[in-house]
Amino acid sequence: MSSLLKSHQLAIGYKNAGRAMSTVVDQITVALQPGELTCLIGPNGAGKSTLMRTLAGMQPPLAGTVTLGEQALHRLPPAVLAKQLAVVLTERVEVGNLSAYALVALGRHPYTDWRGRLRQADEAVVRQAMTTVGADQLAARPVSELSDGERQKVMIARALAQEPEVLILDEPTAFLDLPRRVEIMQLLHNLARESRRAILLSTHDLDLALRMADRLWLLPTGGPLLVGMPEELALNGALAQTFQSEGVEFDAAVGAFKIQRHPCGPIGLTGHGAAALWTARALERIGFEVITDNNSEQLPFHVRIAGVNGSTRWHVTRTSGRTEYRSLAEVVENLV
Amino acid sequence: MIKSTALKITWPQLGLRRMALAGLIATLIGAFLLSLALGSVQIPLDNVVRILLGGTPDKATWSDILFKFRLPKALTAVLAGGALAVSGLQMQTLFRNPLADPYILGVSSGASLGVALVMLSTGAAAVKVVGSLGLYGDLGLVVAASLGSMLVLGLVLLVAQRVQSTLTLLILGLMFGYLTSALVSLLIYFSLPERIQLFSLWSAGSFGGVTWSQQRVFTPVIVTGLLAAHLLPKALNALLLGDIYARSLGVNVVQSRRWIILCASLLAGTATAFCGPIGFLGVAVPHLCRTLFNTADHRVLVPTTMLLGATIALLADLIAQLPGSQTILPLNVVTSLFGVPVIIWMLLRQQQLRASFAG
Repeated sequence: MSSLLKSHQLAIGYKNAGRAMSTVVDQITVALQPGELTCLIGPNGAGKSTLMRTLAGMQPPLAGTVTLGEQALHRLPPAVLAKQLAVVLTERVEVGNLSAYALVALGRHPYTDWRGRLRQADEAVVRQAMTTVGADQLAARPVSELSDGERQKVMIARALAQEPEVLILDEPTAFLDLPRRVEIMQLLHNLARESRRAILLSTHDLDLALRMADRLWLLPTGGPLLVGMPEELALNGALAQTFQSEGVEFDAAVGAFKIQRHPCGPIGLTGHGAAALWTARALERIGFEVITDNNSEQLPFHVRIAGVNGSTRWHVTRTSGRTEYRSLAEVVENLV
Repeated sequence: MIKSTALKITWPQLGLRRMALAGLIATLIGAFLLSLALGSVQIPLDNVVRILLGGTPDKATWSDILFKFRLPKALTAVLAGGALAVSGLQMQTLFRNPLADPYILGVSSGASLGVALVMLSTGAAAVKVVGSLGLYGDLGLVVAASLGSMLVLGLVLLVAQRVQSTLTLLILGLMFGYLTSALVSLLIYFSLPERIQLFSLWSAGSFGGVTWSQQRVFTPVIVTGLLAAHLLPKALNALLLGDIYARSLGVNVVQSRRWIILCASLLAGTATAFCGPIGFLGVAVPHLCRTLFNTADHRVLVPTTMLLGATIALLADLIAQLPGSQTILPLNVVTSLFGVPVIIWMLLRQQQLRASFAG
């Protein structure tokens, strides 16, 4: 699997008016994979927005490189970049009496002629984008009359109309109520999977990020950036540590939303403790219904957790045979 | 699984509707003919058309009135009205400010300063310099006003290259405006009463002062500016979303901004130089178009604002003539009487100004 956007030894921050540079975080080497939803979480002021802006090409890196496909991101002409990478910002746009449809149509900007006229193919992309996010019924409504959730969907559709490979969203759930937040996260999760796009979003919604993200970027104040599968970061304590230093306690047992979707069918799970809890979460996330009762061994798929903390082993049984894995990430990668 | 597709989706139509465009053009032609027919002397419409087509009117003097006075004035009104309205639209979008007008960057104060320098300079040395430059007379005023607005424009463009923030640019433009106004006040304070009257006459605004020979400069410049304005709607549309989104859509924001300022200032500067500073057309007409066509899409707004601006300029001039009487009102009085209620009405009716722009 080749990554779409990657950074190498990236240092982010600001060049001050003089020659002094203020580095926020450095040594960032990360990658965004197609089909994956990546969530960036971390306390305020840690540099989340700076990192997002640098990865989106809106701010130059202080050191290191960002590559999009095979090319250096910060050397790409804006018009070329706009066809490969789209952003959704936190700031609320006020466009007056523009219809939602016309707003989404602005996303075709990089593709239209000098007059900005949309061909039929362009309008087809716009309509598809609105249908994808479930905003097609909003097409004729003025943007100023939309609710925050509807507006956010329209803004995502606008970004999709650019037909980008990489989508970067700065706190897309910031102004939404809980059900809308779940809806938007679910939407982005499905979007990444179904369209094979790489999606990066920043959020303060830890619980939702843990449930929805395929990969988590943890940015504690002062760095370094920690990267991993959410469940692994929870298991190895990185998550607790990041937020502990901020005086916030991370309660691993809390789950406000139970997300019900089991396209992969049932899977049996035997095991105890935190490893079992997070394995169950990981399996649910990738679409299994986790069964832990006595008959679970009879199911076509079964995971048994053995060993104690520090040397945990996952034994996965399926029709083709039995395999032993040393990490949860391996389990998930082989089951997807 | 069958998804519910029972609700039929009606996708709105994008872009300018042909009927709307045809309606606006017809109204403009109507207003144009009316402004040729009405005045201190009434010329019947059939005679107006006959004269324009090269025929002989019922009274020989009508032909003279039409060609010497009314036709150049109507042409000036059309071009200046369209120019000021389009320029106002560009400034409102660029600065994301509903009250922005063509003069927001100090273009009109610059022109005023130029005119004031010529008209109000009283010292013997100054008179000699101004006189030797051939700056007295009608064309002299135009040259002085153009130089004044070009000076301010040059300063603004220079600053625009370095300043990233549009808000900073807006404030700098206002400051330039205040500075030049202060200089004008100073000149007025030290000059002779009859000169001051001449200056206030120019300040009142008029479409009637542009002669045929001046049209040879005025028309091509304004037409060029208006054509250029039709190249910019795509960038203006992207700027609706703000600088950052515009950049993410592949727009070179600094460069687009430079072209928009150049175009708007050329239009407003030329119109002001030839007709004096004319208020409210540039603020009110774009809002009127947004309401009439219920859109913020500049592919619709640029042509409609231009046509409606020209029509309203013609009508304002017509009202200023008080047809049938010998009295002529100052043009700025009429445009203010039209512009202020339009803005207040829209503010109260649908809070459009607030909805159109970030608060």
